Amino acid sequence: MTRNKGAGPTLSLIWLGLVAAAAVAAPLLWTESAARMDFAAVLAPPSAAHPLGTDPLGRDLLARLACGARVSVGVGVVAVGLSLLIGTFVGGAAGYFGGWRDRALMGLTDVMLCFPTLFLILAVIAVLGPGIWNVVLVIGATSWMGTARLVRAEVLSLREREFILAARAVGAGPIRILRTHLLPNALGPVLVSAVLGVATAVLLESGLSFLGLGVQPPTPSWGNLLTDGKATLGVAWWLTLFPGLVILLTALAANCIAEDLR
Amino acid sequence: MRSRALGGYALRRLVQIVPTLIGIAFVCFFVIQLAPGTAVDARAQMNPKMTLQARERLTQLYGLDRPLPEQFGRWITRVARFDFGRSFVDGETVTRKIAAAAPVTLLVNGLSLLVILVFGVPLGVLGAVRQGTAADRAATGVALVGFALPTFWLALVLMSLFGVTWRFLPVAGLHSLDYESLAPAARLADTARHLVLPVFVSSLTGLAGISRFMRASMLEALAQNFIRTARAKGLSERSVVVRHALRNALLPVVTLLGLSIPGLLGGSVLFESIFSLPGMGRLFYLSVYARDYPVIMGLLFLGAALTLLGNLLADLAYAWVDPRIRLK
Repeated sequence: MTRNKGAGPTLSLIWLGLVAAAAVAAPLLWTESAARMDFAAVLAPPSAAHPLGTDPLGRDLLARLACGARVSVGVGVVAVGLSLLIGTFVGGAAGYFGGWRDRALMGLTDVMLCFPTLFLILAVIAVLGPGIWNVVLVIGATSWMGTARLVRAEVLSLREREFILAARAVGAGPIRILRTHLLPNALGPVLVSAVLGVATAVLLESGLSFLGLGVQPPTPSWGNLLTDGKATLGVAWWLTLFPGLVILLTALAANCIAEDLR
Repeated sequence: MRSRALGGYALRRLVQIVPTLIGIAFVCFFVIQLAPGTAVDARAQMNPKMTLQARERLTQLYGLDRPLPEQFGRWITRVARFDFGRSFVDGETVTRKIAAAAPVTLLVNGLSLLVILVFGVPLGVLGAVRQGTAADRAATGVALVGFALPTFWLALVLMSLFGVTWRFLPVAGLHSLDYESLAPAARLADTARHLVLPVFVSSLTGLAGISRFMRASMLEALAQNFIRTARAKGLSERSVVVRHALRNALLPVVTLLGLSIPGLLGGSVLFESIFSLPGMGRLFYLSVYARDYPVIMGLLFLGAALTLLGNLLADLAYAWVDPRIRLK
């Protein structure tokens, strides 16, 4: 365990730093090289000129992966933000108010937990249509249940503590108590679940895009690159291997960090 | 006495399920209401020659001119009879389409659950008993990777390696082309060969989850006082681990197995599309592309209901092996 803790989180941070840098900078620096078609090097294996090889149109895979980082990670982060918002609201209200409101909100949470994740997501996509914002919305709206349960448990355990009673005694309303006293105290476990959530969301986005129901081409996302790679799997292994590895490493790094935070 | 207490518990849990089922039906209804336009518009799109009168007739036929609460009431009474209408694509009843696809999905997911249980539990126990050793660290590492793995990608890689490069396993479908001409034993072997990759890939994430959980649960059990007592009595280590710790640590796993059902069912969308298995997941995927709303709604409801059923069975199994539960 101790050795794991030594290298794992550091390496994870370095990798996530790289991915974050790519998400911020690559679309500014590399859009041109990501779109440039080098017809002299169509489906070229990894080489010095193209470290990760090129696709059937001669586009550089490394540049495309770097540009895809913004889309894939962006979708993950925004979706998790949305799910935190919903989950905190539902869990906080259920825990604080108790009674029938608690039963109704937790009943809704139980109902939502029954749906096979991809079934619900795909059903909503079928109705709303695919696309980057719909994917964010759908992932966010279907992944808040864990956070809601966490926040509710924290709020329940804190609700009767003296400092809350004191706040209530001086006349603070429920919203103020939730916002300034209860929710900041629930932040720790929520943060851990958020980091895990980003990993799940990145995997979900790539899965959806892989099915052709997520981010739509030509917007480059890691899932889209993987789908493109599928078509040439027999002749150009690098187009399938590297996008998958990037997704794997990113999710792995997020999981490592969450494990470490816990 | 024991069976009566269990019966009472089962009855209570069955009654508790009803509001959740209504909630599931409500969420399905809500999802379809998100759609722009109505089912009649969707059909008119497929048939632009439809007259205004025909549209009005359809609107009336589907009850779309009625207020929403009444529509929901009609939907839920039909759901209670497993009547989800007919597919927009081929006019077949949704129930029949799902019934044709369900066995494949249940088979693959049932086998996956078995694999998760048979391999995940020993892995977790091993990690707990040998805590801190190289084996434990390796198992931890594998589990972490298992969580982070884009499994559809792994499916693709394995498919290309085993199926295309080495020609070792079939890549798609449930049967070979000459299936009909095979002897019964050969048929079984043929199906088994087709199922190796799908079952392996779809059980990976659950395997990682249950081995981690089992390890934690086992560590907790091993730290209990009755374990110290058992050791003090001079029982062999094997007997302490298997008969005293494992029996207690296994209990929560039952619940976890129930909880892994939605992930497995959801995953079947990906794997059944990749491996071309004619199951519920592939039907769902195809229906999404065809905007076949009746089939989507039917699968969505039944998928959630199956999960609920799985959780109920897990709870009952838990109550059966642990008498403390059903007395609460």
